[in-house]
Amino acid sequence: MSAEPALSSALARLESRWGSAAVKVGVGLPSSDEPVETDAQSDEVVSTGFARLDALLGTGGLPRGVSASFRGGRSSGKTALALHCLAQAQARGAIVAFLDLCRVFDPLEAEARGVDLRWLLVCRPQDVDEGWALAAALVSGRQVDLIVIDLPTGLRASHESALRRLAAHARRSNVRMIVLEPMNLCAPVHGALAESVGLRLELEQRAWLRAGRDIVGRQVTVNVAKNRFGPPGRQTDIEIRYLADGEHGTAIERFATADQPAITDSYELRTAIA
Amino acid sequence: MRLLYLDWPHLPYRLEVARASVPLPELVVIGGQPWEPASVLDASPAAVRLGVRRDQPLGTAHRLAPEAHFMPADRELYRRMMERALDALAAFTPGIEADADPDARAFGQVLLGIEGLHRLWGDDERLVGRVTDVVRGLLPTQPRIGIGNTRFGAQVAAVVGRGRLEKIASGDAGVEAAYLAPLPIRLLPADDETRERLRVFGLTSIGELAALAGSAVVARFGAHGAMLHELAQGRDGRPLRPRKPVQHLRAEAELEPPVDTLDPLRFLLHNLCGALCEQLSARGAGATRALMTLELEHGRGPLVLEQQLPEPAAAPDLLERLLFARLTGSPPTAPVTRFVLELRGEQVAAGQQLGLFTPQLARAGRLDWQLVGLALRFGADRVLRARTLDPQQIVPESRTELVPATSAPGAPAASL
Repeated sequence: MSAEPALSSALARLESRWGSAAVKVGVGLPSSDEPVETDAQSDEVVSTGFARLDALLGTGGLPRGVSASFRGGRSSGKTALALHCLAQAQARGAIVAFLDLCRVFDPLEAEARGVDLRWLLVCRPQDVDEGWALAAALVSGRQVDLIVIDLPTGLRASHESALRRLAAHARRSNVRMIVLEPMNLCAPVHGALAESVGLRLELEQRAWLRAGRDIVGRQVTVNVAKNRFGPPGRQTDIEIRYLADGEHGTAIERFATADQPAITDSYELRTAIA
Repeated sequence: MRLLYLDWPHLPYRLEVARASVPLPELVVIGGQPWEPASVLDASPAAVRLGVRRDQPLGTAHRLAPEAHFMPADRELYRRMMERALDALAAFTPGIEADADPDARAFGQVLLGIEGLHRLWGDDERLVGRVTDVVRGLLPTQPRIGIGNTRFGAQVAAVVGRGRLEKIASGDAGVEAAYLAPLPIRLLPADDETRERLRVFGLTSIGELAALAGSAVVARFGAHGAMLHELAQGRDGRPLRPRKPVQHLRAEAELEPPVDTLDPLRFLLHNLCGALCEQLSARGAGATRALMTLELEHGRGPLVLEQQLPEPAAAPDLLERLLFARLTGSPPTAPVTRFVLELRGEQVAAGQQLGLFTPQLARAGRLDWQLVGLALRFGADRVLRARTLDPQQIVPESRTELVPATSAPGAPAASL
């Protein structure tokens, strides 16, 4: 029996079980773990900003209309990863939003990660219930292409249904949604997220990255816990680096100073006699 | 052509003084706080004497006048007051040149073409009296008033008059030049370098410059000098550019029996918006502001709701959604007997230049509409935009700020 039919049938079985994107013929993963600028692709997929992670997901990033959750503890890198996703989406012409339920959003960090603040909406509702309504209104308006929801730890079980509705609404409206899930969510909400999203990534900090005595970043392990578009259970390490002169470096570069305007005739005429 | 020039110097400052509930201090800078990345819009005369100038960075103004009271600029108020005055002046002549944009250099200056208006309004003194009567209640101070045969002549007459009517006799360029001749040369609209060179050449009056040969002035001062020479000789080729009249459209409906729920009002709004937007579209204009007046039963005062639109628009569905959201936020407290909708429109730009590398620009207009709707529904402080102030500030809270997404200079539609 030749190997060709056997290989074909094996591939067919894998694809039928895991989807067409499960098996790719490639030349191996890129060696660098740094976030890379990908070529301009179709806006159907938004890169996460990390080539290794994109390769794991099967689709090369976050497909349109997908809901994803990034789960991890403090300093696990989930916010940094979400900011990279926002920046990548903006690079493809998206308008993005950040639902800041925890009220810890740092614009400088976002700018340092490449987010264009002009096309980022930061939503700060009065309470979580208003946050759901606000997110639903943004999704309904279809002007926002990607929304990141930073969940607080104290969510009640009653928020489970709101979260399910929002995820379904985002899916129907073709809006990408990323939920930043803390570790100690209550079981109903955790379960609702697990069922509602198409992609679940679990992040855990492995080690600090050091240059001499300085800490220049952190190494994070990302485990694909659920993936509707490819095989789950795979993991990779990514490096989230701080910039050379702190997170403010890029922001300082972008901080523009106003030019001194020239004096024109009409204004000068007024003050001539004064 | 006879031109009437009205000038309200420091109009934003005067408007703030007029509306302040307590007297403002002597040193005032309008434009924002010293740490904001914005520029001075206006300043009190005392601050101007210390060197504060329009369009200076606020930080620079703070260094020049550290004890000044810095206050934000209410551009909407200034624009509204100026537009009201211009609407009133439009009754005299359609030839009005003015800019209601507070950021415009010519804000507070109005030029009216009064050629041939004597049969209608009387001689110059009577005309000026009627004009000042009309604007007296609308703008806080008496303007400087000048009448001349050219734009520059009228402006100089206004400055020389210092609040009294000063006019140049009707005639040709020679009459204008004769009036200007003894006046100081610093009245000419020259830049600092040219001013200094004129001083070095020993020219102190406009007449001295006018007496020079044109070729000599051009040789020394170039094209800019040629323009100054023309003005000095009483020739100002700049034509009057009449302001396009703002469209006011109004539609109303009597409600019998009176309506006490919002659904019928929405139906009414749908029809009124459709009818008015059709008229706007036919004129090539878009609504910039909408005013809903609901007369209520039982003798209660009318409910008046004014809504600024994010961009000139003649789309009835967008307008209806936004105005209904506004109505939902402020529902009438009694049955409605009459519903009046007014749209204020202006000429829509023929096209829009989109940024080559900023695809989001194409959707900025629709996004603004959505943001205004969200602000009405949830509050202006719920959806924000982040701005970097000074990343090197010691206090982290001072490095960035979050401002309402619907606030003008921050929004991409206005903040690019």
